Amino acid sequence: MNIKLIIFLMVFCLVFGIYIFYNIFKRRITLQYSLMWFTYCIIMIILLISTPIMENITHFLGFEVTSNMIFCLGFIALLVISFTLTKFLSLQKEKITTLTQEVGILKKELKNYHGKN
Amino acid sequence: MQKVLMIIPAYNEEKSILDVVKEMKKVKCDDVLIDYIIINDGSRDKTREICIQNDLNFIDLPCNLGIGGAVQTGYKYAFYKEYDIAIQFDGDNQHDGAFIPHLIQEINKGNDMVIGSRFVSDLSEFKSSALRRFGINILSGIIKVCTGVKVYDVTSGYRACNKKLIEYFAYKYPVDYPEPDTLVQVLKKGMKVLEIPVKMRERKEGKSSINGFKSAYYMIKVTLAIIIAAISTRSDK
Repeated sequence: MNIKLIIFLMVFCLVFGIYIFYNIFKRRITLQYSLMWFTYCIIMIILLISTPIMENITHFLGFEVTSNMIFCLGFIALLVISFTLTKFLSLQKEKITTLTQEVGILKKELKNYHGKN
Repeated sequence: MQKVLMIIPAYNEEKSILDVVKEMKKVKCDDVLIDYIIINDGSRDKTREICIQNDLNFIDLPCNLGIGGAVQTGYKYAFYKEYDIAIQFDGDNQHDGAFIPHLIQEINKGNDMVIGSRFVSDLSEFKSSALRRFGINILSGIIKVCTGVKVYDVTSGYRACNKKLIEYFAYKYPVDYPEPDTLVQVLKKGMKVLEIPVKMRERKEGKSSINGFKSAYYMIKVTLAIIIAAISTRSDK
């Protein structure tokens, strides 16, 4: 793989990793949800520095060019991450529905209570 | 005395909600206390103001949940307040309140769920458009294959449930297009479902939640929901 591409991807992963850290410290994302992105960056960087590992995987999976393998793996990882996010989203939606219903019922109970007193 | 709760989901029903409540108040049934609860599902029109002005019994949801979420709120309320029977009744004045005593009677005969149906007799002159009837027939066929029970009006939102089902629905109810889905769950659990003839009117105000391009999406989604419900629901028996 071209050294320019390796350097570009590594710089990108490093900047992205630092950005994730920055957000954790600013408490904009929780550690739980940042971990999968973090793992993504670290695996990318490891693959990029270790040329022999990269070439072995490329041959093993049947790719012609190493850069294709990197992009394909990155794509698969993104698919997994976005599906995980959809799963979280569904759970969140269910929780919000329950909360909305309970808030509605509570509002009614509160009104009744004030009405009686 | 038996306590019955009428669950009336209302989303932008400012023109019909008062008529629905008036109709409800006309219903008399011996030895039965009939209450109603309107679930205002985050309406953007004056539904909420009308409920306040007329001192109607209503729950005001802080945001729009969709029909399933609204109806489930009613079931939760019925469960917390220990009602014996819950009856779903549309907020758009499509349903005829005169049949409420029939539904209650059939629940008291030991049925778990009683569905007010347009198709089991010629009582209801309004039977929806040909295309929609065709869709309902297909869904009815799929449900027959999945559960072995033939139900004709599978999308009817005019249905009564006993105490056992109130508890079940309070915890578990699908978010959108819930009628066929819940029907399959109930049948798969081995509960008794009965269809009785009722009269339905054509809606005067507002639009149905299903129309145009949405109908294809509706058919695919509901078919999937039916199959998933049929596979994942375990029998209680």
